[in-house]
Amino acid sequence: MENTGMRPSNIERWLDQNLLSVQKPGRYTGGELNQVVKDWADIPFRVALAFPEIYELGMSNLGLAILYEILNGQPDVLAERVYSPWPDMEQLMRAAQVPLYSLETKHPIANFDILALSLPYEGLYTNTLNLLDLSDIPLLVSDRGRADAVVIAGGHSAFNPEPMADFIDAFVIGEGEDVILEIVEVVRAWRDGSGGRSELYRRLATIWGVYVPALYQPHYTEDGTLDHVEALVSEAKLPVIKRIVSKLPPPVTNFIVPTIDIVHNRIPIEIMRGCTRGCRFCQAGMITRPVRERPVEEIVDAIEAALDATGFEEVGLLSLSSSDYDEILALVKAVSDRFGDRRLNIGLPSLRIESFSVELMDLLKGKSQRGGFTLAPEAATERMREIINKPVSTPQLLETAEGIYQHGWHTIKLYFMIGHPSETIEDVQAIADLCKQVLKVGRRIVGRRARVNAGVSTFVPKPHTPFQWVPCDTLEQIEAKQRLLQRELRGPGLKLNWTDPLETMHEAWLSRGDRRLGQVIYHAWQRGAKFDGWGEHFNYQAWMEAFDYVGLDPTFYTHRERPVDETLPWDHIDAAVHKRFLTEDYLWSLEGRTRVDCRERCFACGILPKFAELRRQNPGETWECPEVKSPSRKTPIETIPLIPA
Amino acid sequence: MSNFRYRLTFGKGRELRFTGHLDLHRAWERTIRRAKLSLAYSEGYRPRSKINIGAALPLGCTSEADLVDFELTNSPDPGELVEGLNGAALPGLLVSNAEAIQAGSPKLQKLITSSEYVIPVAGQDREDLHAKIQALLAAEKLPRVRRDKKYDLRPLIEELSLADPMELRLRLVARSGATGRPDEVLRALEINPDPLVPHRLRLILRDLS
Repeated sequence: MENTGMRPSNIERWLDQNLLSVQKPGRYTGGELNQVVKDWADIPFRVALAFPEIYELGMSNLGLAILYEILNGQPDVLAERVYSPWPDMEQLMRAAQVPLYSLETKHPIANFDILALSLPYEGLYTNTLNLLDLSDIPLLVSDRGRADAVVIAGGHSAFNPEPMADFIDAFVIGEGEDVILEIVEVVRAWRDGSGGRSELYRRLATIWGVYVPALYQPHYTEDGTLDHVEALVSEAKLPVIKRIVSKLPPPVTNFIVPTIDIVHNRIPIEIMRGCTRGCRFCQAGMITRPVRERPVEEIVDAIEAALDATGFEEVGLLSLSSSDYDEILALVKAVSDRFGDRRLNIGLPSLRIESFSVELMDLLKGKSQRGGFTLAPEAATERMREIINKPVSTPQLLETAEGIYQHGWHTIKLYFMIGHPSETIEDVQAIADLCKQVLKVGRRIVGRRARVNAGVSTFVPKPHTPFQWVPCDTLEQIEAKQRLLQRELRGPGLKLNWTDPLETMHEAWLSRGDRRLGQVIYHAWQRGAKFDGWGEHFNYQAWMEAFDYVGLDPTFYTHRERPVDETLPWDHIDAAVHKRFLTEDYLWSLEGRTRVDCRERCFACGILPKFAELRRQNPGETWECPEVKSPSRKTPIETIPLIPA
Repeated sequence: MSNFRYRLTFGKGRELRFTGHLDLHRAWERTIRRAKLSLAYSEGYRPRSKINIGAALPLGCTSEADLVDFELTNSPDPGELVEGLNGAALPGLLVSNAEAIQAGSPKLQKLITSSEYVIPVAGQDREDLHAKIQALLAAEKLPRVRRDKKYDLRPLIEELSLADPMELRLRLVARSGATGRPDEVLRALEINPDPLVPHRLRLILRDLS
């Protein structure tokens, strides 16, 4: 868009003169190794990539690192970064009327063609509004005109886009690697032509995986539930099918190296996308299907290239369930062979609870420092584990714990959730008992040095999961369960972490909210809500007042059990897993029926019929789903051809 | 197995003026790793890289001749070292010299006695500033409080003068436990230090001969 507001040189000068008065000025300077700086005047199309949180969190976001590389890989596109300023910096900027700017060239965000936000979780919604406001971009889609940046958002929380529908021009549902360039082409063609914002929306809506909320109108019934969502123009598809890449592209290796400490100060390499386990509480496991793995060679080469480019001392091999990666042993061996002498700390999160996991970590760690070993049983009784479909037996867990302590670890971190459907206080007591049993095993093997850290979060039902209909625990239920755990899990060797129940409520309103919640978010933000994920900043009062002002009842969203035939606010977003499958799985959970890993047997979740053509074009090991031999009789998903530059 | 110790002279540019001492340590470690030098680590449960930066540079300052020692497990030629490190360095870090150092020689912290800064102070009234400098130097004591600790700034100022064009030149004590900060001197002269960029010209080492 045309250059308006402060010039980069003025912003630069202002920063130079003011940064010493804020905490951690290194958040606001840019200039790190491997950042990409292109000549602003020479590049006709500009994208600002935003994570609406502080630098330390935003820099750890892999999604944006991927888009940064893809966009900057285009000769005629530039991409620069922006994160939320901490309140001390925000106050200074507002006082001096300095707009939010990009780290690379210090251009005001309003001067970019696209502002692309990553929204992996709901806690970022008020910060998103604040970021738009600091950028001088009209908050409401309906107030934006031709000259305003096009605001797009993606990430897991986009799978229920409705609460943020008033503020986002277009959502990317699903994976961004391919779709981002299609969006760039459409926005560029629109910008260089004529036509209003509605013209742009119609064109964006034709892209597979793009949801343009302004083109849809929700209608409600008298009891406040959703009746239906109406598509207002012919281009608006019902439903909007999520975007996937048929094969994972080679991983990013040229990561930006921060000069201040950040949350995940490491090389993140995604070894596999999707998960075949089918844990019923897990949204990621449902919406990232099908499972696609990267070849061992590609991963190892990427680590090598990334080490050379960054000098990082830590590598995270990321996936939703590392143990399920087909060649996990080969991968771990290759990594330890090739990098064993490089003093690397290699993380392999999300391991299954079995002794093989201990062998894997043993191979990776060599003689190096052993911190905590993390296991996530999620529930402590067989009954609960059957309900959530994470069948691990307690003897198996104890045996694994024994192996961990025997192999030199002193601390075991156990992750649980309270608030699973039909959980009783006995199930919670069992969490405490299990932690103590594990500690007892540890004491026997390593004596007083044994530690058990229990991380107990609270379950929030999520869209597109078999638990999307269930009520979330009430504040009173959560507090009673937490009191029990706090009473039980104390003393030497035991540590308990839990989630603030008020923050859980916040997550619960928003995760299954409808479009009317946009008003609540707006008014909460106006009342000062921001950085909702930061205990000391979370302003429960502001949210309560906002609900009251808008005239909505938060418990309608949190504690209400939805009938399975209710039209849900995200039903017009198709994650490619059948609602039929989710319903069946929910009913199975009520009977305590479990499903095995779907690598062993396909349960027809819906991925294959939806993406049959893609699967047929990518046979063999690329996907973990069964092969599709015959050509699909259904029309394949339409993709628009890229407009030649 | 004995290691090989090197002493590097380097500058910290504007890009790194908000990178603190601990973060600079990590930046050095990563630079050395990228240059594919075989950095030595301490033994034990938590191995530490053998990097020792002499005299922390206050946040917001730049420098051109700071010193860092590190140990390698092999012994490349110092000239190659400079080239290799500059090829791998991050923006704002520039190595100007490298020399091999005797393994057992004293640590930088024991050698550095003071540091010299230049601070451009354009816009100040020359006469007025000159008078303040004279008053400061004439004072016997300059009691100050920093991070709730009382100390006397006066003995930490070795030299202070006004040069052309409008810039302050100062030499401050830089021993462990007694380090003068340029921003504290500026405050003592009633100048707001936040918009200014003190530049450290050099570190002065004890004469061991």
